[in-house]
Amino acid sequence: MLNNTLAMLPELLPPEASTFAKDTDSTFMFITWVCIFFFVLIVGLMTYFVVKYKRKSEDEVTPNISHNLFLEIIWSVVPIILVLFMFYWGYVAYAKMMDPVAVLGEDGGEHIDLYVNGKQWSWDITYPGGFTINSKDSLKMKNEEEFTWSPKELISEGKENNITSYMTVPVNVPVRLSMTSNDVIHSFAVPAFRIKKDVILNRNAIIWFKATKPGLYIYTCNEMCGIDHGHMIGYLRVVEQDEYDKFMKALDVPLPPEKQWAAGKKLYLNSCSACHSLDGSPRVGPSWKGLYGKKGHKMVDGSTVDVDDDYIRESILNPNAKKAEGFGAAVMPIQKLNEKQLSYLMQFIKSPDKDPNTKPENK
Amino acid sequence: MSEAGTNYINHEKGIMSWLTTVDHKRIGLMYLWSAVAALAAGGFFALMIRFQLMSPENDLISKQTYNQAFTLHGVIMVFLFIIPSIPAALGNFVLPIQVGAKDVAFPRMNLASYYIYVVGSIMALAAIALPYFIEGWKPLDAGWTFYAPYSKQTAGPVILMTMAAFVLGFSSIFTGLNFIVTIHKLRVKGMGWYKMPLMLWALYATSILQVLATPVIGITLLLLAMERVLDIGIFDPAKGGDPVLFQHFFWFYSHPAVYIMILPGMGVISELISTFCKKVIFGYNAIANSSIAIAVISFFVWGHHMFLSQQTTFSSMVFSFLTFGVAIPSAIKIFNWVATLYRGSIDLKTPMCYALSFLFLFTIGGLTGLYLGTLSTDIILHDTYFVVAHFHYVMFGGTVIAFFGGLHFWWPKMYGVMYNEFWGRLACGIIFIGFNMTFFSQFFLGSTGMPRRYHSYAGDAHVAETWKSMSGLSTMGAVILGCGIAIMFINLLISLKTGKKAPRNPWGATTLEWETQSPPVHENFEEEPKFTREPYSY
Repeated sequence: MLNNTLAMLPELLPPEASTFAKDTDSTFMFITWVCIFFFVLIVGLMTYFVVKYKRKSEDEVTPNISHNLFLEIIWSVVPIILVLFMFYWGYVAYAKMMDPVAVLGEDGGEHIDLYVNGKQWSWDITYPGGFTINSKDSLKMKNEEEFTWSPKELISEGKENNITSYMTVPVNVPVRLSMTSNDVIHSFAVPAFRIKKDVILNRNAIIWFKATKPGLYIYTCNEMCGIDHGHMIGYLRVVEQDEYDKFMKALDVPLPPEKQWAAGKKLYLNSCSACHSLDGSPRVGPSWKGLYGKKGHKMVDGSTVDVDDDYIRESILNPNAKKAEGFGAAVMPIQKLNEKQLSYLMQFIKSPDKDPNTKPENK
Repeated sequence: MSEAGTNYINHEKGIMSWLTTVDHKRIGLMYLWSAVAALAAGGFFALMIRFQLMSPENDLISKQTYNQAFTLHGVIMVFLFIIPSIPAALGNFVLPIQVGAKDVAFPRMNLASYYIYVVGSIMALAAIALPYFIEGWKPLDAGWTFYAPYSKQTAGPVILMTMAAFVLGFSSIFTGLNFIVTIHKLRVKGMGWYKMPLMLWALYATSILQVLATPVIGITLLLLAMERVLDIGIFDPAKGGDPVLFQHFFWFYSHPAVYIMILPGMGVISELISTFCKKVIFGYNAIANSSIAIAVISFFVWGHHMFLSQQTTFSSMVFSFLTFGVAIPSAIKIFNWVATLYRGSIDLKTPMCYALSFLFLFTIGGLTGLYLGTLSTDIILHDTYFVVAHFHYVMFGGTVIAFFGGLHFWWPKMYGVMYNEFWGRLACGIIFIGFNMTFFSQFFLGSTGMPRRYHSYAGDAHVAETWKSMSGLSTMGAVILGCGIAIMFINLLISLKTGKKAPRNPWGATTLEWETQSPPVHENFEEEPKFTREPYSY
C-alpha cells in the first residue's frame, strides 16, 4: 500500500551515477525527513488549534500567555543542532567535489583530463591528445579533417531533443574537468553526477567526478546565456573501459593520406603564417621557402644545422632551443599540437608549394 | 456618517487634490493601486511563461519572447510590486496611525518618493515597450539579475531598465528614511519601543535595510551602464573585468532585499494572528528582536547565491554557515505564531484565512531553504526549478499572501466599508490551492535537474515523464491562482459600491488605528490619541 503510493509520486532525484551521488542524496534525504517532521508538527498543531479553539462566542476571554522560556529554548536549540549537521555534511561533500587534487592524489593520480569549453550555445569537449568534439554542426563542418568517427545514432536521437553536444567517459575512472567559456557565463551541470559549476571567460574552473553506472545521461547549461540557452544541453555516455578505448581509438584514426597535406596547410594558415612566409621574405621568423633539406643552416650562436625532420620537429615543439641567424630576438610560442597534427604540418613544411600526394593528372 | 462628516477621502475633492496631497493615507492608496497594476502586469508575463512551458516542445511563443517574459516578470514583480507592496502601500497607510501621529515625519518627501516611483515605473514601461517601436532595439532578455557579461552583450535596453531600477531605489530609500524618523520621533506619549505593535518593528527593520542596502544596487547598476556605454572593463572578463564581482555587488543588495520583501509580511501576520485569536501574542520580545536579528544577519549571507560561481570553497563554507544563522530567527517566529493559536479564540475571518495560509506556505518556503543553504544539496538544485519554487513559496506564499491578508484587514479602515466574507474566504481558498499546484510541482522539476529559463525541456529518458507531468500541473495551477486573485480583487472592488459601512474597530483589534473612525479623518485622529493599553492586551 505504502509502496504503491510512493511509486505514484514523481521521481525525487535523478539516477545516481557518480561517487558523489550517495553522500549528497543521503544529506538530501536527511533534510527531507527534517522538513517533513517540522511541516507535520507546525501544520498539525495549527490545524488542531484552529479546530479546537474556534471562536464560539464574541466575549470569550483568552489566557494571558506572554512567553514560555523553556519552550523557547527548546525550539531554538533543537533546530540549531539539526542545521549544524546539514551544514557539516554539506560542506564536506562540496569541498570534495571542488578539490580534485586531494582526492585524485589518494587514487595515485590515475585520472583522465577533459577540457570543457562553453560557448553560445553548445559545449566543446576536448579529449586527451587534443581531440575536440564540437557541437553537431561543427562535427560536420569545422572539424571534418580532424574527426572521422561520428556517433550517427546519437546525433539523430539528439536532434529530436535539441541536443547540441556529446561527451563520452569511462566508468569507474576519475575524470578531471577543466572548464572555461568563450563568451558569457555558462554553468556546466550533470544532474546524475550531482556536479555543477559556473564557467567564465579567461578563467579555469576545475571539478571532477567518478562515474559508477554505464548509461546515457544529460548535462545542461544552468546559467542564462542568451536566446538558445535552452539548447545548451548534451548527452553524456558513460561506457565500460573497453568501449571507451574504442571511442578514443576512433578519435585517433589518422586522416586519409590525400587529406593530410591540406590539413597541414590549414594549420599553417591558422597558426604559422603570421610569422613565416612562403615566398622567401622574412617576417618575424624565417621563411619556409626552400627551407626543408637546407644544409648548414646558420644559427644565432654561430653553429650550423641541417634542416631535417628532427630539426623541424624540435623547432615546433621547443621553438627557442635553436634560433636561426637574424632571428635571435624573436620568441616563438610553444605550439600545442598532437602527433598527427604535427605530422600533417611537417608534410606541408617539406613541400609548401604543392601536395606531394597528388598524382600528376593524365590528360 | 454619524461620527463625523468628513474623512481623508472626501475632505478634498478632485484629481489635483490627490496628485498634490501630502497625506500619508492618500499616498498609501496611490502606492497600493500602482502596485496592484504592477501585479497584474507581472502576472500577465507569468502566465505567458506557464503557457509556453505547458508541454515540453511547445512553440506558443518564440525564444526571444520567452526570454523577455521571464525577465519582465522578474523585474516588474521585484522592483515595481513586492518591494513597494507592504511597506509603501500598507505601511504608508498604517504606520503613522499606529504610532499615533498625524502623518509621517517628512510628508513632502513621502510624496516625492511616490513621484520617483512613478518616474521609475515609466522608465521601466518604456524599456518594455520601446523595442517594439524603435528599429534596432531588441526586447530585454537578461533576466532580472542582469548578470554580466551577458547583460553587456545583449541588445536589449539594459541601460534604460537598470536606470529605472536605480531611480526606483531612491523611492525605496525615501520611504525607509521617513519610516525610521517617524518611528523614532513621532510615537505617541507612553509608547516605548517594546510597547510598539510588531508591524512597526517589522517596518523599522525593513527601513534600515532599505536605507543601507539600496545604494549598493544603485552603484552596481550604474557601473553596469558605464560598462555598456564606456567599456570600462569592470565586469567584462574580455576586458580584464570580473563578472563574479558583479554578482557580489548584486547580491549584497538583493539578498537583504529578500528581507525587505518578507519582514513587513511577518509584521502583518503578527497583527492578524493576535487579533483573530483575541489573544496576546506569544513571545513579543522574541518576534521583535528576531526582526532586527534577521535584518542584521541578512547582510552577511549574500554569498549563498554564489556557491557555484567560482568563489572560494572557504567563502562558500562561511556563507553556508551564516545562512543557517538566518534560518533560526525565522523558525522562532513561526513557532511563536503557532503558540499564539494555543487556547486562543480563533475567528476564521478572511484576513485570518490568509494568515493561516501564510503559516502553511511560509513553513514550506522556509524549510526548503535548508536544501539550498546546505552546500552539497545546493549543487543539485542551484539554478533549477527548485530555487524557483522555494522563492515563490517565500515571496508569494509569504509576502504576497501577507499583503492580501493585510489588505483585507485594513480595507475597512482604508475605505470604511466591509467586503463580502464568503467571497473573500473563497478567493483565499482558490489562491491557496492554485498556488500549491503551481509551485509544489516545481520542487520535483528542480530536484530532478530541470534548469531555469529553458524555452523547451525534453530532457532524457530518466526525467522526461516527470518534467512533462509536473510542468503541466504547474500551468493548470497558475490558471487557478490567477482566477483566485481576480475573484479577490473583484470582491474588494464591489464592496466599495455595496459594502456595509465599517465600524471603527470591526475586528476587535487593540492597536491605535482602530481607535479612530473608518475611514480616518484628514489628520488621522479626531482628538489627540492616548496610549491607554498595550498592543495585544485583550
